[in-house]
Amino acid sequence: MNRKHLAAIIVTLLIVVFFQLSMTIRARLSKIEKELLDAEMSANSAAALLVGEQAGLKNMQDNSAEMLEFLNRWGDAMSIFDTPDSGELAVAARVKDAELVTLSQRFEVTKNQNESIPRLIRAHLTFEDDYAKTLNWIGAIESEFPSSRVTSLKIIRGETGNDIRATLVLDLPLPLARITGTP
Amino acid sequence: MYIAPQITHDIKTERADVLPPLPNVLRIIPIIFYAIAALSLGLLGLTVYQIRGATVGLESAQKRAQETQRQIEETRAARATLENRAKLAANVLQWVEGATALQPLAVALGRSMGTKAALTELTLSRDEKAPRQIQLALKMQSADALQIESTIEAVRQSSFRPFSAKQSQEGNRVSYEVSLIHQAAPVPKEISESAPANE
Repeated sequence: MNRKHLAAIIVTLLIVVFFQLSMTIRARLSKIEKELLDAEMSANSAAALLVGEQAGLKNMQDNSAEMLEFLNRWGDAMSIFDTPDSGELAVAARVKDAELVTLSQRFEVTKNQNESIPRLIRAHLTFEDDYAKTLNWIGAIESEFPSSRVTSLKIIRGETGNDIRATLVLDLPLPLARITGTP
Repeated sequence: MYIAPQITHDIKTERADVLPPLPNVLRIIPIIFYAIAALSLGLLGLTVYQIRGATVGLESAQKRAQETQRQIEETRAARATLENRAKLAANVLQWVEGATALQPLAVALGRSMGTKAALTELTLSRDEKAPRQIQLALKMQSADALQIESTIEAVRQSSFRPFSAKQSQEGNRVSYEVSLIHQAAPVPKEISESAPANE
């Protein structure tokens, strides 16, 4: 074997190595191009999905705008009382301020079926006092605590003159969490 | 055509030529070999360049997909929040609808009594399961046959719709029971008038 034969073998080896290298690089390019294609398809389908989701959100925003506006207006009124004690104290203080003749006064915390208002402060109140004074007091409570609910009201004649005996059950909501106007 | 012998080697062993040399035109073969080798290197470089370009494109597409996915998650989260808010609003509405003020109705009923009638008992109670619905029961002493009509009119003017009425009478003593449902949209209560003391 002379130098020329050796050179020919080296050239052949180089060709083989070069060929293998080319094949490897081409395979890598094919793989990356396939991944690129998949990624492009994935990005495009995600973009289409995003458009759908955003349209759904917009639609939902439009549909629920009135309800959310309602919630904005009522959020504060619904969150007046955060503990049973606060509601009991507020009602008791207003009874005392009005100097109503109170025959009985009892408070309890009861369960409610409403998911967002799972508990109520239920006040059982019996007054015997002047007709106007008593009804004004009930009206003032309903006005001052607009989320309050008079569940039951019974009025009969009182013992004297213009007096009435009013027996009422007043429910005050205790929301699950403070209801605010904005999320 | 002259081709330098260093470039186009003759691979055969050094020996005395016994045959005439190959035609000169065949010296093009090594030139083609070099050209192909150069072209192959060029193609290899081009392929590497394409790989780089595709890698950049891949990263960009993956980043875009991730960003889009993040926006989808944000949109879904916003939608879930909105659904919760809407549900909360529906629950609050349900409560508010069942929390209409009863004092104006009680006052209106008292005022509806004519001079020949006296209200002896008035009961307003809400249905536990349907708090919008109010049961009105009243007992009165009345010599006026049209008193009930006045009372029903007072109920209507207070934005309540009466239905399922029951009435019984023994002499002057009249018992009247009716279910009421509030008709106005739920708005915060505003009681403009106070109950007059002379009622």
